Amino acid sequence: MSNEINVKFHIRRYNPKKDKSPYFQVFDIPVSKGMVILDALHYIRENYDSSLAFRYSCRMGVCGSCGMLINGSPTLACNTQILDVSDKEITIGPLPNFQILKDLVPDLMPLFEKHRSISPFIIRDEKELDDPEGEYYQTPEQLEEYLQFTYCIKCGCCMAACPTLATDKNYLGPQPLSQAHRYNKDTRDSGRKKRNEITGSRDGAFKCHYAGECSRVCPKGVDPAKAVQILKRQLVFEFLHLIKKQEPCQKLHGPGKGEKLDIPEAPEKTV
Amino acid sequence: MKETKYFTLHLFAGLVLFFILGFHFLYTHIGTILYKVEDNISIERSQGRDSQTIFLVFFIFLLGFGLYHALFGLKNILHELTSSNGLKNFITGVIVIVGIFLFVFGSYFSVKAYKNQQIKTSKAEVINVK
Ligand code: HEM
Ligand code: FES
Repeated sequence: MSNEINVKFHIRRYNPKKDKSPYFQVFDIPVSKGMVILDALHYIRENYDSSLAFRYSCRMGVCGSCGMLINGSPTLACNTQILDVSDKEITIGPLPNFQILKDLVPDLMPLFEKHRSISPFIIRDEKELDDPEGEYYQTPEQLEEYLQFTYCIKCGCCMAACPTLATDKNYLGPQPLSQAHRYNKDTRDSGRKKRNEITGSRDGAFKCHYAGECSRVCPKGVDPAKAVQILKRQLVFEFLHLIKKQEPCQKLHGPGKGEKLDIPEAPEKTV
Repeated sequence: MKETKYFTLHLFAGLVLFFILGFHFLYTHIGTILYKVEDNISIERSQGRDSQTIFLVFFIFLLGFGLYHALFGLKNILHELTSSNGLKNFITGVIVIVGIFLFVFGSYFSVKAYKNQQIKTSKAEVINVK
């Protein structure tokens, strides 16, 4: 193709089983308009070095697998146009603040474990959850309160950008904290008190000093820094008893006023 | 939730410091800076303040809230430099001991200065009466 240009890719390589320390390898890649970083990595694997390790799945910024450090900024490889970054040299490494499994593949398990620790699901009386008699009612305004935080794809970019996490691995970090806020703000949820135990602990929200890098790098436009500040305020207000007790929204009863509807039996199987 | 309690106190201490330091600045320095009036930081004036009960209370409040606020902040900074829980507990321990020591030390000398000045004032009064 005539409108191709060559871009130098400096790729950080590291195999903990073989290498003493990480090192850089340089590849010249023919780049045309529209190519994303992930395409360049595939090009390297297909044409230069099949042992290059990187993680991806959806190729469209949805699964959160391909987070990596591109020219110093944590972002998604599948969502980043090469020519938007540079038409000369690009440096790619694995996400910082995580252990490296191999080359560009970080170990995201600590993120998932911390995420799990804040109970990222709607907490209600279990009997009520099993009862299929009605729907939870939530207004569009109530949805708006937490909607942006539901866009998190757990790619780990915010965790990689956090300066506190860089030195203190025990800090929960922006992803789990913003998700705690997401569920706390959901009017269907009644688990705020339980989450406060984790978010208000020594490794919780108070370790955030509002550097704001997490929000700057989030490829989905989520604002975790904002969530953490609201969380801090809520923790302090709750401690001072300045917040109303949380009353989760009630179920709306459809036709039949809460009684089970007369749903006809499924027809008999024909095969 | 313990940390929430300590952090809330940290913020509260910050707020108290805002007023206490504000008062200290207005009372002690602003006249000198803006109007070049009386030298409020001269040794005589300082000793004069030492002799008043209201200033004794003020100094001990400033010391207590200042130490808590500053040392809790320092603890936060130091905790973030390590991931080891053992080291974090050690840091907290050292900071608590240093804090208590400084508080006792500062309070002791504030009270001592207060008492000394009181004795001086009463002696001066006796001389005046004579
Ligand atoms: C006007 C008086 C003051 C106010 C309103 C104030 C307020 C604050 C606030 C709100 C924080 C928490 C920041 C965070 O979210 O982490 C803080 C942290 C801190 N403050 Fe103060 N402060 C005052 C005076 C002082 C003084 C006089 C000292 C030292 C002698 C001090 C030392 C610290 C330290 C070391 C931190 C921790 C910094 C950090 O965590 O990033 N402060 N202060
Ligand atoms: S491959 Fe799924 S987000 Fe990039």
